[in-house]
Amino acid sequence: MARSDRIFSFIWIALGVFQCAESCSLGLGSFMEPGTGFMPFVMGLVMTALAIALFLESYFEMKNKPLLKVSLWSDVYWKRVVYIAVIMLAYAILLPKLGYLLDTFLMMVFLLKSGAPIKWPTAIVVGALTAGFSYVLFGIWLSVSFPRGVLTF
Amino acid sequence: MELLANLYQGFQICLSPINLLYCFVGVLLGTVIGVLPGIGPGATIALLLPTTFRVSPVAAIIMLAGIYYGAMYGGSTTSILVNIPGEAASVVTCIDGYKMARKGRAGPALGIAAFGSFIAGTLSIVGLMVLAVPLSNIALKFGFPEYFAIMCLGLSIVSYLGRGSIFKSLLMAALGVSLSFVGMDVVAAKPRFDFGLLVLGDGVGLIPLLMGLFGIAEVFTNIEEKTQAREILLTRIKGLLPTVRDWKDSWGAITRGSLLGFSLGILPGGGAVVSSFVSYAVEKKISNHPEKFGTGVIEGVAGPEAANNAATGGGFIPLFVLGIPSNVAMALLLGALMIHGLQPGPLLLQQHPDIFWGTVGSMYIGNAMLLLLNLPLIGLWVKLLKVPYKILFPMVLLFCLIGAYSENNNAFDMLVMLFFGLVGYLLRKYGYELAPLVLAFVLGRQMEQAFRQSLILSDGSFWVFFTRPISAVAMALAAFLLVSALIPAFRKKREKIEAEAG
Repeated sequence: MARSDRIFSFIWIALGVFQCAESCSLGLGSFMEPGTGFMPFVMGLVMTALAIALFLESYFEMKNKPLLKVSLWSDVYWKRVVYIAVIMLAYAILLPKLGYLLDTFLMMVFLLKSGAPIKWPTAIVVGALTAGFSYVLFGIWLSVSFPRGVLTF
Repeated sequence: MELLANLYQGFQICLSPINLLYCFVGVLLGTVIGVLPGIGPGATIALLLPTTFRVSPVAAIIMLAGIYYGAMYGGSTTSILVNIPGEAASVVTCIDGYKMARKGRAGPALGIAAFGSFIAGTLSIVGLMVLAVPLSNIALKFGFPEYFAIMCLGLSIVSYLGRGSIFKSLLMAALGVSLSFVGMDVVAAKPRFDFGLLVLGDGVGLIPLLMGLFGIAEVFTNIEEKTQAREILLTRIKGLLPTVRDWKDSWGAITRGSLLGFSLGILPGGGAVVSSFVSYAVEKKISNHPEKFGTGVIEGVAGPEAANNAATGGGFIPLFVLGIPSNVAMALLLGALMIHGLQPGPLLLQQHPDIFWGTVGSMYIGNAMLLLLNLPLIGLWVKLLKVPYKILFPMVLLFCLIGAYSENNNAFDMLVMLFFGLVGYLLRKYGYELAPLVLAFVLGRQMEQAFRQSLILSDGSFWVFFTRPISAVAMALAAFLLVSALIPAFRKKREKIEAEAG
């Protein structure tokens, strides 16, 4: 974890510095009359200071303890996470075009197939039932206005 | 007398058919998600927040509160039968609960968990009822410096209680506050950090952020695991009613757990998880047979289960009295109240007593419903444990997507949610706690306002936070906690607590 902490601390420092710079352009005001950028500037400073502290902590941790080379990405199905995130991204982009029912049905089928093995007919039936049930619950009962898309009924 | 009149009003509100229905739906869903490992109460409240947009605020809060305390009840079932806690506050119940089940005493373990929860839940509601009004009268005298200091203390406690490096927890709090700056600065009517995107003009949406960090990130964390089949003790569960001997062994633990849970629940940053661990430690310490703890003693189930339920009642005090949530679930309830145009705080009790007393009344009713749901229907909850996660997770994701979309009927919110889902997944993986981030995000705007107004009122002097008694005490406590996390002796103690917490 110490190695990743060091990498992360650089990200936090960059974020803190960016926030400070952006806050300055917004106007800091004065102590007596703090401006729009005052509090974000303070938080940017705090973030940068904490990131430096984290860097130093991980630096001394790595120095004092032998580094165990255990990857957080081995022995896990991280590709499944990427696959599911892509399906969700496609769902969000396609929703206005395909409409709620079709888009939801397709996403459910792909999500069900992405997990442990499920047969196609089961995935299709569960996908259709979920799309229909959720439409009744949210679209009709709770009056959420979903896009109709290609299915215009 | 006034108390009874208020309570009567509360019962009138919560006994209306629609509120009764929402209370039932809340506790039922709470039990279900408490039973199902992999979905926490935070994620479920976030998930169901959008379904409450079109109902009255009191019905919304009744349902969401029901989910929270219902999850505390349901969480014990999986701890006892599967040795997997349904939610974090039931982790400690696994130790003796599962051992009792292995010894063929699953029935009394489940029974005492349900009765203990009921007793503690009821006692904590009485505490909430008695303390909330006098405390809100005191809170009315608080000024901006006191609010700022108490919010700092709350964030310090949450960060202190987080696992791993204190710097990581504090970074999460700083990130949460920073995210709250996105959008229009209400004082100067000036846009900030919106990168020219109109959709960010109103800031980062609370719902997409919460659903991403809790709903989506939780699912991502679960699906990447190479899970093994759960071993469920399905041998006939009999004798749910504890025996006289069981009651004799448990009543002390239940009473102490209730008092401890309620007291710790009040503290900003405290909550059900901490109180269950403290209760277990206390019971072990004062027991005549501490060596038997961990082998299946009923006090080890009764105490923590009572404590985590009592903490839920205590947690409502800072929310209703100060408008400051004590934990993530309370932060979500705060969000729900704000979405309905209500500002929690001391004035809420005066201006909208129906919200407070309706919720209190519903908690009595909800606790009774939970007792009826949890004991006779235990077989059903056990069957629920058999629902495979591969079927469950696509539905959770779909509800998250719908929830994010339905707030503004905008697909962009789904993208924001997905972004925070991935961020939350990575942060969890690298040992960052998400609770300080969420709490800080919810409090961020209030903190900024309190900070700026304090400086304006004091002519730019930072001493204003240290010269007023309440803010000085809160600031001193916050500083003590943060400094103590860096002192080697305290640091070891903190690491020991983390190790015990699993």
